[in-house]
Amino acid sequence: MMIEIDVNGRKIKTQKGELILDVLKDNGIHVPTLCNLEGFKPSGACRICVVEVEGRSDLVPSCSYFVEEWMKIRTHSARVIKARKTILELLLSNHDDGCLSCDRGRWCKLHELSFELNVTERKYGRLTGRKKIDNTSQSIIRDPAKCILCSRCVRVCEEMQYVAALDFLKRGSRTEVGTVLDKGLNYSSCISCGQCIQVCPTGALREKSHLDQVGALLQDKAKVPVALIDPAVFVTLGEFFGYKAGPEFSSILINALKRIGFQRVYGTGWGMEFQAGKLVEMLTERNQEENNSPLILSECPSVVKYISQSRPGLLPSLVPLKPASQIMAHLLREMTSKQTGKEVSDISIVYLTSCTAAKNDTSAALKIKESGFLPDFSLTTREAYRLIRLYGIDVESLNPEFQEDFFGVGAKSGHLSAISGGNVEMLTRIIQTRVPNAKLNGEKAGKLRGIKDVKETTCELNGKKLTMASISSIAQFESYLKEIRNKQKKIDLLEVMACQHGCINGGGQPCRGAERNLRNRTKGILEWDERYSGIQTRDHLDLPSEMNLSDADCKAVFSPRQITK
Amino acid sequence: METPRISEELQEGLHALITHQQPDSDPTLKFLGRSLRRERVERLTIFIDRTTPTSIYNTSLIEEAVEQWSDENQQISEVIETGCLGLISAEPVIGIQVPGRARLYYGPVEPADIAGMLDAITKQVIPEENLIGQMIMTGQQPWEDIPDWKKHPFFVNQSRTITSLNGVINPSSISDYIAWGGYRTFYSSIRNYSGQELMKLIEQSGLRGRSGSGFLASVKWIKAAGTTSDKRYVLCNADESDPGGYMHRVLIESNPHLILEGIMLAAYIIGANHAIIYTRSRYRTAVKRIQCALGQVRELGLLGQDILHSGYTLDIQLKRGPGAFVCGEETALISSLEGKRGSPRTKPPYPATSGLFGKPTLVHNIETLAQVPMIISKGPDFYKQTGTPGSTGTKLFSLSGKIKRLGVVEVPFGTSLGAVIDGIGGGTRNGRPAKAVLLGGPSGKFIPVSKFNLPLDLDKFNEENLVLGSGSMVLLDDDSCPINLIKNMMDFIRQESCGKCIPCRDGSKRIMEILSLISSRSLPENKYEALDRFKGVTGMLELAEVMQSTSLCGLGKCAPNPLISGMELFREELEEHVFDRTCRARVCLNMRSFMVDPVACNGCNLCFVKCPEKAIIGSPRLVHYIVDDLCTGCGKCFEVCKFNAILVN
Repeated sequence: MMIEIDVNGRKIKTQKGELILDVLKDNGIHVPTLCNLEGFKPSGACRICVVEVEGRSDLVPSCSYFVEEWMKIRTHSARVIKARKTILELLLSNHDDGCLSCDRGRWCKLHELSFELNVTERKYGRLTGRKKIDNTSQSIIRDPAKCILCSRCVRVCEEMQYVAALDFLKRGSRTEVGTVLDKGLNYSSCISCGQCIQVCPTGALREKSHLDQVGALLQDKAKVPVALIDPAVFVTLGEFFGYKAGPEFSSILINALKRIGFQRVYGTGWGMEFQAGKLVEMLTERNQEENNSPLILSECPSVVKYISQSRPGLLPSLVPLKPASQIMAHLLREMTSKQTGKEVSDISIVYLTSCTAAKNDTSAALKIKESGFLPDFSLTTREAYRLIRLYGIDVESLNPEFQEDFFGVGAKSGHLSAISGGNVEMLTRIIQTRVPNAKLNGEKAGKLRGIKDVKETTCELNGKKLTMASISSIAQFESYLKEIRNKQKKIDLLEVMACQHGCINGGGQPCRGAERNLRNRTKGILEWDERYSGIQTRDHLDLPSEMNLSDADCKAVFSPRQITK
Repeated sequence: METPRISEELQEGLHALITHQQPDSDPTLKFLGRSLRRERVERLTIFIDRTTPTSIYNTSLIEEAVEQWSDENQQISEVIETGCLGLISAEPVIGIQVPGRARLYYGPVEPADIAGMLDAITKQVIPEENLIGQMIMTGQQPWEDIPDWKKHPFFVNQSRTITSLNGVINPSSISDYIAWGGYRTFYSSIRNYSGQELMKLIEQSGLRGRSGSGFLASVKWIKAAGTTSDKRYVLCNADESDPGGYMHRVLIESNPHLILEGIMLAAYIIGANHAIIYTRSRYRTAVKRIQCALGQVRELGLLGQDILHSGYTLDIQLKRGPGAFVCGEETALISSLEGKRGSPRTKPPYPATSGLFGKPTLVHNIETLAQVPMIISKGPDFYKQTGTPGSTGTKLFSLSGKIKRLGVVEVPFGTSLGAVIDGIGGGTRNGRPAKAVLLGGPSGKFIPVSKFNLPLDLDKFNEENLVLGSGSMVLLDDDSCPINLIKNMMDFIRQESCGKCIPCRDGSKRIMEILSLISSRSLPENKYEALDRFKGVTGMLELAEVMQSTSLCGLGKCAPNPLISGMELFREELEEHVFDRTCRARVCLNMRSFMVDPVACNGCNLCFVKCPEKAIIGSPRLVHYIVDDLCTGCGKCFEVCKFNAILVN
């Protein structure tokens, strides 16, 4: 039903049943928000989005009230601005003063708000001691002193990821966000997906930085630093420098990293195809066995962690293959060692990824078990940006460059794996044409693309129907598992990613503007795929001529991944 | 707790008392009712108040004294526990009844007095000391020259309806309640009337919620009954936790069956088959009483499947929360019951349409539900006779602070505040002039003496922009410091806020911080503290207003009420605290200054030794002196001086 409301003296036509905040946004009126999270139920905790509605004695939070026809709204009256400013001052009274050394820097929402609302001094309270920083986790660090209790991380963790590692503890003015029994993230059910970092408006959550270690590595003459880049980083990192997402920036990035001191720079694309080829072989064998429960394909370390912690019953269903990044790390070590004559242990792989959970793989305990396979360090997209800034590289002056060797060229459909549904699309191509770069017909590809919760497709393998589905976010995973069980669906392969829409929305991506840039990033990946489609360079299970995988090696490459509990 | 089993014979009798058209016309039933009501007793009977107010007195000592006395005098006596009459300053209250005579109430009673009292009463001589009055029931011979207990100044102006059986019946016994006509309304309702017919009565009665906002109850009821759903719930909020408010607790401890009947009627009217009583584990006596009452009700078949062959099914559960002030807010209560963190959510949707587990839920507190049996049994017209046209019925208040007679009082709406404070409460304890009343606990406002003629009426209070609240009254005389009281109330909010919304969580913390800067003094005072204090005082009101207008739930919205009204009323005292650094009531610690009376001081040196700040100089046998600049006002010297030589300013 169309209604007309009065906003700041202007008549606005709108639909009944819409939230005030949405109506204001559609009409170009910016109301600051802190706790509001798109796609989630409004919590109404921060009260910074209050507006004045005539006839009500109190101010109304626009994020959780619906418009009604009698409403006369004033969004920026003196009373409203005073209330917002006071609320912000109250927030700042509890907030840590270490903004100069804060990881979040100019992306801090609180900083932006205090600039907007002209807060120039600490009005209430004095800082009383620092709070204990939770650095138990291998990937995520939590600094409670910077937390403003907006509950965004709590809601994402519980409602989107079904993990509920974070929740409110204590009450009254002692309330804080914490983990179970206040023991730290490492003891909680955290799956290190980093979505909490993405939604945190301040610097209370950040990744565990490997920048210092990478810096030391680059100075070490005895080591050979090799960069391994996730496709999601290729398409996103350009956002920092004003580049459009797509293939353009990737070659510049390769050049930049080489200037920083990496001797070789590769993408993980080849590894994806290599692994997919093996997977198709496995599917062919498996399909004959008539197995009922779906195979779970997950490159994603968070999903593997979730399954091992919360659904150990599904562990046997996991695809018994290592993720592409680990296969690549192993092969690159072998190849570089052969070409440079250095020891395998001197080849250091730095994995640039949009994932925070990848940092778990670099932990010492795992490395002892599987020294050859794991990257030495892992940098998120944000860290990669800071690395380029640190080394003073002027990106605009760089020319495109390619890594002209076996792993560097050609295989570009592996990049599809950065978006949810990409792995399945690549598998379909291999099954249908034996060529990973072959283009699928529009209808088939359309099923697997776009921003959707569940993507399903079927194809024929050895005369039998093979059903594959793709899911992102753990909440979707859980509900889909339930659906499979209830509806007796037969799914052969289930691709799961912990971050919604895949790695392009990973926990290590730029903290701001994810909603806005998500479509661009997807488009970038697809554009890239388009450019290389139809080029068949080689069979996907070939290896470079100088490398002969021995039987033992081959077994190691195609072995299940190590799982920590 | 194990519920005492009811014998089959008695069960039959009780059923007959509930279901019989006119129990008084049947001689056996009449006899049963009389003895259950203890109108006639066969031996000396002692009634001892066993509720939370008496838990600080060792009532078992009184019981022992009674036993000892009966052993010595070879008398058979019986001790029966009762609820609380409401006059808490006279606790422990006991009732003594000899066969054939009216019951006598005494209080406060010491265990040592028991023997003397019983001796005298059995010899038909009535000791006048600590006598409250006699309670005359039908067929009893009254004592001569002894006033009725209702003539006692505490009770004379009360109109006891829902508290009428408090202190009279045994709260752990269902037969007492049934003998006084209990559960008859419920029985006749479920047998003879439909929910809609009864809903009309509630609508006509104009019943309003007793929790503070005074919301018209029937609006909630009609909404809850009208929303289509497979399940409906009735929630009874028994989690009263205002500092200074204890009337609901006393009510449920003294007469739990009245609450149960109210819940059962409400559930029947809105068509709910589940009801939940939400209380806190710390209310041990209340929990015990409710559990016991629920056990008895189930045993008599008044709860469960097909109650008394009416086809109606109902069960009541008792849930114990960990105890949080914010769980008195209905949405927080619901989320606590759902097993989540007890924090409120934004309304709408209101619980009446989508409450517990998303089902229509009727949430009321004890006092509101306790009104229901009376409205149904006596009819809305009778109910409307008490109170004012806008606010019908009676309201419970609890008196505390510097008042002479503490206790729970029940007065009709429209009684003036002065009548309650000065008449029923007897004014201030020491006869000093009263300053104001804080009505409504931490969410309430101060009402000055000049407004004591204001009628206690919801509409009138709204007009005056005052808060009736849940009904806790704290009286301040000129010896109490309002600033200190405001600080305590704000500290309570700071601790009890759920921590969800910023204005309430951090606003209360900061206001509390500013108030402690105002009401304490550190020596030597550093300049930042003085600056903070003045900065705080100028910003405090603004902060309170923001807190009021932007908080999520009622707790935060009302939390600055004492502060805002207090700052208006006690401006002078506040300024004294801020500028002169003195507290005229000498309550605020560290704000007092001490000096030695040179005449009384004999130089014993004790204060010199005990002073933790070494602020006292002097030698033995010489007059001592307190150095003002070093004194922190801890009061140690005042406590230790045996010669009253330390003067407080």
